[in-house]
Amino acid sequence: MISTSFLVYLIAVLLLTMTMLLVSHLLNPKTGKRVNKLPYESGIVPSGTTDIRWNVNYFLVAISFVIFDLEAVFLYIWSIVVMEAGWQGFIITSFFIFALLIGLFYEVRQGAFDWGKKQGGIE
Amino acid sequence: MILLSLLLIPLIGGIVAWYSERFNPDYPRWVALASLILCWVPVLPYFSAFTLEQMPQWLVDEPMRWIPRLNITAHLAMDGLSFLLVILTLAMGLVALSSAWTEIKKRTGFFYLNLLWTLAGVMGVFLAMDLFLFFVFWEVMLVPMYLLIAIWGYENRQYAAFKFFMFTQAGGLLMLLSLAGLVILHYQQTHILSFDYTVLVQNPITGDLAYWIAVGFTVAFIVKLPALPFHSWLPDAHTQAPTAASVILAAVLLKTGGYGLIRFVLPLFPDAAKAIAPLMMTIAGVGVVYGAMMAFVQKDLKRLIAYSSVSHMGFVLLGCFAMNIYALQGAVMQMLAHGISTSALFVLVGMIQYRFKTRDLDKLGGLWQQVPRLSAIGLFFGVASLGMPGLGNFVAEFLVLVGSFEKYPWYTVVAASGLILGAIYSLIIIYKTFFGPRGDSVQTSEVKGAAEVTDTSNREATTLLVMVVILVYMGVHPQPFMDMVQSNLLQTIAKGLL
Amino acid sequence: MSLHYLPAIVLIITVLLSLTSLSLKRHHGIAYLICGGGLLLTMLSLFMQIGKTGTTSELFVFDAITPFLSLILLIVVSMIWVQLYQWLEALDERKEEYYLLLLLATLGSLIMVASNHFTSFFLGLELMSLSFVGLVAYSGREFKGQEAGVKYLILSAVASALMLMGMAILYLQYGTLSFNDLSMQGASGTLPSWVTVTGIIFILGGMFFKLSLVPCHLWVADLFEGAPLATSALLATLSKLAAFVVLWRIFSLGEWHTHAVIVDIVAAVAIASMLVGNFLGLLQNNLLRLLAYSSIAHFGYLLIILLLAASPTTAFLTSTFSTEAVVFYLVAYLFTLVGVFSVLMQMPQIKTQQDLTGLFWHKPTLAITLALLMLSLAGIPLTIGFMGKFYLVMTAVNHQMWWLLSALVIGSVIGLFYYLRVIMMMIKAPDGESDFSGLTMTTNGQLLNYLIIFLVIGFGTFPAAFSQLIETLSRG
Repeated sequence: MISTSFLVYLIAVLLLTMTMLLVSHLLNPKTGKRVNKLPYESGIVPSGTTDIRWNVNYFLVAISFVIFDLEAVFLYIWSIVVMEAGWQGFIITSFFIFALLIGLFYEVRQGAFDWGKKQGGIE
Repeated sequence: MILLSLLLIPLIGGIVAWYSERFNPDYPRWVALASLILCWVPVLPYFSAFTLEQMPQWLVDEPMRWIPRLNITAHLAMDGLSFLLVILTLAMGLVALSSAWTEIKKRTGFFYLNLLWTLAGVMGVFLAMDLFLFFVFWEVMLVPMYLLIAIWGYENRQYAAFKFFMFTQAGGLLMLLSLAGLVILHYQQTHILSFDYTVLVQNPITGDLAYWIAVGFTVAFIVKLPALPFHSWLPDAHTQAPTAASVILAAVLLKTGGYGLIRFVLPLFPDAAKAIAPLMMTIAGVGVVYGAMMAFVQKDLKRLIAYSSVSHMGFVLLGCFAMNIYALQGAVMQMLAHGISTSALFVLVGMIQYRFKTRDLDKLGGLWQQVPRLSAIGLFFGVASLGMPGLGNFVAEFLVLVGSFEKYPWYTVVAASGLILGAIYSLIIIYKTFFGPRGDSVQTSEVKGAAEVTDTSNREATTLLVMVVILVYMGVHPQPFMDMVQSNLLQTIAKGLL
Repeated sequence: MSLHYLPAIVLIITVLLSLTSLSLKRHHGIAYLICGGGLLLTMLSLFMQIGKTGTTSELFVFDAITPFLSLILLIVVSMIWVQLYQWLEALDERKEEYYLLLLLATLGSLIMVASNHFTSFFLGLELMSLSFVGLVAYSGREFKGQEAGVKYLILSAVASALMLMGMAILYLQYGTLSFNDLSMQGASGTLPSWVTVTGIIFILGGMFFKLSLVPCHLWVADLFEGAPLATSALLATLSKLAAFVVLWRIFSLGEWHTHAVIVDIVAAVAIASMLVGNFLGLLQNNLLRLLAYSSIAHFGYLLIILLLAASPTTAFLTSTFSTEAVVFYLVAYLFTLVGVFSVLMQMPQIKTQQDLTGLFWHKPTLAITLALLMLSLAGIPLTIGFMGKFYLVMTAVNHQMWWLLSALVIGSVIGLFYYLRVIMMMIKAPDGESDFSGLTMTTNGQLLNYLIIFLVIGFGTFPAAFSQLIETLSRG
């Protein structure tokens, strides 16, 4: 069950954070200034608008990156047990990579990586 | 295969009728006529049963496999009671056909399909000896009936059809639960899994649950009968239905409720039936008086007859729960006599509506001068409805009253007053329609030209006269009908009397 | 690798094949045929397994019932696939990816149906849900479809999160993720029982989302209406069947009925679903919303099955009877529902009940099919829906669950009201406003209608062979 020390720790954390918030709230100047409303950008005055439209290709690339990142994670685990997994493991892994390869091929043909073009992919 | 063919002929005939509409809109009615006449062939040999000294348990018994997983069989069988009701169904089918002959002009094929399928469903109800099969027929016959009212009915048909379907389906669901309960309880008590009536009836279930199961069945049946709290679908359905559907509804569909009580509730739950008998007798007594009193304030002729049905069916309920052989025989006679007399009245109203375009009592009157033959027959059936001695209705009501007086004198007294009230509404029909000054509708139709309104045609007159003959025969010589059902009914109440 | 994995492998290969063909050359016909061929081969490989002895591995269970349910799933998908070509042709979108997502969703549901372990279950669930997000938001230009897609994405994420939380708690308690070990009090079972119950409630919550049962039902109507028709059909059949099968398996293997709180919750949800679902459907004019509400009610009826073990039985028939009831009901409901959707797919311009006015007099086959399907949903005898309901009632009466049964009766009566309204609309005399000239009957659709009538009425009238088959499978 939950130990006593954990409870003490929990209460201490809560107290500390609450105190910090409360004190800073009490001490801060109540007069509103123009700059108070601005986002904090390390002292630099923000410029422009945050409503930037990102190219949709950015997200495609990002998600592809995640996919291949994860592939690496799986392959890493396989590399640890490569001898124990044997040929069966090899076949399965190859199939896995092969499936991703087909996915990549599909993406390329869709024009996922065609930066700057208005219309990508085959028509 | 005799009973199966009895069901299959109208089913197939219906499909043929529908298909034949493509060639000529007149064909469907001929196909319907042919298949209805063909239906008589399988049952004709059993008319000899009227002459038998000792009725066998079953005239025909046809068990067939259906769903072996749950030991459900397609068990069809016919005894005296079923036989009489099947005959009634077939006869009234012909009457309905006759009344639809010229009235239905639109979508004839589909009409006769529904008509024939309703008849098949009702006959299935009367012949099914497996409870599951019974339930299937019980529910399925509603669908074509619903379509008959909803498509070919009068002004407010959608509402009426809807109400009819909802009421009876709600009752049906209750019956489904009770059915499952009955079978499972029976299995617990005997370790025999069966839906078969002949098996279930040998060891009636007992216990508290049995009481509730019996109530479930009873409610499902008295919704159809209809008895008092559940009757409100009937006036609407009757009023809006086309004549042929009204005939079927009054003549046979209502009888399924009474049949269910006699066939299933009394023998399957003898203890429970005894326990609920006082309640049912109250409902019946109140229903007789209430139906009659509602009848004589109606302006709509069809509505009036519908309420008179509520009153008459109260006698059936009374007879069923009196637990007495005379009362039960009376109930059966009442089902037959009411089937004939009321459907004849509906046919007559249909003819009046066809000729004068109204069913409003205030707008009718003085028909005798214009359509004497129709009025004469109308007079006969009006008198039959009030229970004139010498006609079937009198025999039936008298037997019910005699039978129930022994045990329930006060209920009987109340119900007997229904006979007097019945005289009032019957005389209202006769007076306001056939005698008295000419109503608005009657006059206007005359202005338009007397040639438009014709008296009964030969087809109509024959139909009605045959019904007159049957009703008179039942009145003067009811013994064969009673012998037919006596042994069945004695068995039915044998367990309850112990 | 035993034969049991063959269907999934066939499906995966089909997916890869269609992906390759898409990258090489876009062609609607080819994509359609690849998809169909894949489904056919999968069905064949499943068909071979029916009646074979089953095995249970760590991740998957292949008993006698699983291949049968998977086969039913594939039949349902194929019935939708048959009409997909025509339907997609009318859609102003890229068409080929639909087949891809369809196959992936099917794969996910196959995995779910056979899962015997929380990991395989979760992977299948996510594969299915994510494919469904794509399927729901398929037509990018339709606002309602996009809204539905976002809704489904967020809600299924919430549901998955809840379920993950529940799985984590159960793992803490039992030290295993395998369904088989859930019932045993594991060595690490040091937590108080309310923690376990909380975990179970989390999982149930997620499942109720997927099954759109009452407290979690709000999304379903918007989704059915907004999503493309074929997607709604898949959502109503594929995803719900898979989710229910898994729920049923976990519930019985984990013996969750031993927790009184859980029994109460499930009973309350069941009753609420039956009543609320039917009440919401009552005055609904939009056909798809109506189907959505009716599906809430139907899964409410099915929940009765989960509670059977909690109440006393009379050793009626055999112990497998409740299994038979579930399978029969599921099959009956799925066939009926997929029938309704395929009828609706044949008349894409009909959206509301008013649009149906007088359909019977113009297109009798279509109208009769739809009317029979409505009767089957309402549970009128001689339809397969009635047989399903009959099985359900028999089991429930056997276990004396009167409360749930009375809710079922009331719900059914209310439900009858709106099923009947649909029929009523169709048989009304045509009022001149209704225009069915745009309805063209294809031979494909016509044949499908006959097949539906055959399934619904044929199995409803002569269920003997079917019930026998299910009985053998349940025993096996």
